[in-house]
Amino acid sequence: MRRLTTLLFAISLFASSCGSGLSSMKPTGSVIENTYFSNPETDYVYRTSIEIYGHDLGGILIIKKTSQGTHRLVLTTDFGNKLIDATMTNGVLTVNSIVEEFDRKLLIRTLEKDFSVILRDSFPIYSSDATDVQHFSIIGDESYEIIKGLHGIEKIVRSKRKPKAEYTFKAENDIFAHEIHIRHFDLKLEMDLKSLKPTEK
Amino acid sequence: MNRYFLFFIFIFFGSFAQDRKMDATEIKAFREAVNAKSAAIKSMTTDFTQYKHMDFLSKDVETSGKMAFKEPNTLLWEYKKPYNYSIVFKNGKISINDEGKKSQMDASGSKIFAKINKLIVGSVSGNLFDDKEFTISYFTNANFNFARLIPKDAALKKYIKEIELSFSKKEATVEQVRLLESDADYTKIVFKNKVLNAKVDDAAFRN
Repeated sequence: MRRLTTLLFAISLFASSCGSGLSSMKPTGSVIENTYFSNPETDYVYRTSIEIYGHDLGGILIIKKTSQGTHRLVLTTDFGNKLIDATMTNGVLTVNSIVEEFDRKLLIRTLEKDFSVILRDSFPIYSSDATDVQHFSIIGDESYEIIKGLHGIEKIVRSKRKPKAEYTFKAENDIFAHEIHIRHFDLKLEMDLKSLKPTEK
Repeated sequence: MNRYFLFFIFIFFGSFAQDRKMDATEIKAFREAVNAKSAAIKSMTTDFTQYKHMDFLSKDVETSGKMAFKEPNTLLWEYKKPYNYSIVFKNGKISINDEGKKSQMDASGSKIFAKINKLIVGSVSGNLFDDKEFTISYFTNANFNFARLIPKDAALKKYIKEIELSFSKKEATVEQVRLLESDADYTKIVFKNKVLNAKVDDAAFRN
């Protein structure tokens, strides 16, 4: 039965995105909340491995909610040198400082897109499957397939006509994801985030 | 409360924190002591704890591990907590072991890597007093003698605004390093259980 519901849900998504287009769909008025980065008292610190076009890079990613709708993001090397220091406000990334090697428009745009998804506090629901596990959301010209797990969001697939990237979360509670994996379908870019453990005041 | 008492408290505790610039005679004696000690270092092993401080964080990000150095230029820098990551500088090559994922690169052609290597080894051994590379000022307080080095090289300056090396007053060896990226952000590395000139096996530098 579950398989059939999922299949019907997939068909409805396919039909809606190919047929009348995203603009014809209407929000249900409900939202899916993402509370993984919601506590302003918590330093979210992740050991980060980045694989980009065959090159490996390790470092430490630090995320902190500084006010409603705003997060500070800093990626450092293991030795502590900052590679990127940026502020994300309502999906817009402002770079405070960046090393020369990282100062590429495509890379900054990709990070902006990825972290606007991960740090977004809610997604408007356009449709859900019967089991309330699989949901469909639209923001701007992009669609999001969202799978809910036992503790908050488990997976998000971001698409723009075709799938662009996939974000997978592993969490032991709904306020903290201890592992996050980002995989791109149109770029050779993967990011693996593993928590060093959250620290609070 | 008696205001003289408050004044006394202020002076008493203030004197602990007070950094005083060394005079020319003190600088000469200090440099000679550090250079002599540094020249005598053939090998070194030490534990370290690294604190990444940024003004917006509730708590510094803390990592720790061990370091081994052997003359002339072989260095292991290994993080063991809270994750395993090690980097070895040996014969112009850099090898990295990131949680079992191994990679290698040739650093002999990279000027910036050569500078970083020299910086790490110099930071630990204290042999960084190169007036061509840095503008150096010298201070002393109740706990340490310390030197503040401002890089002259434009490439290095982009990454590090200032290096502060704190030396044990007794041993003339580096006790802690602070790498300042700005006034608000720095990385502090504190060394512990330092062993000088003991035999360090080559196997320690296999990554």
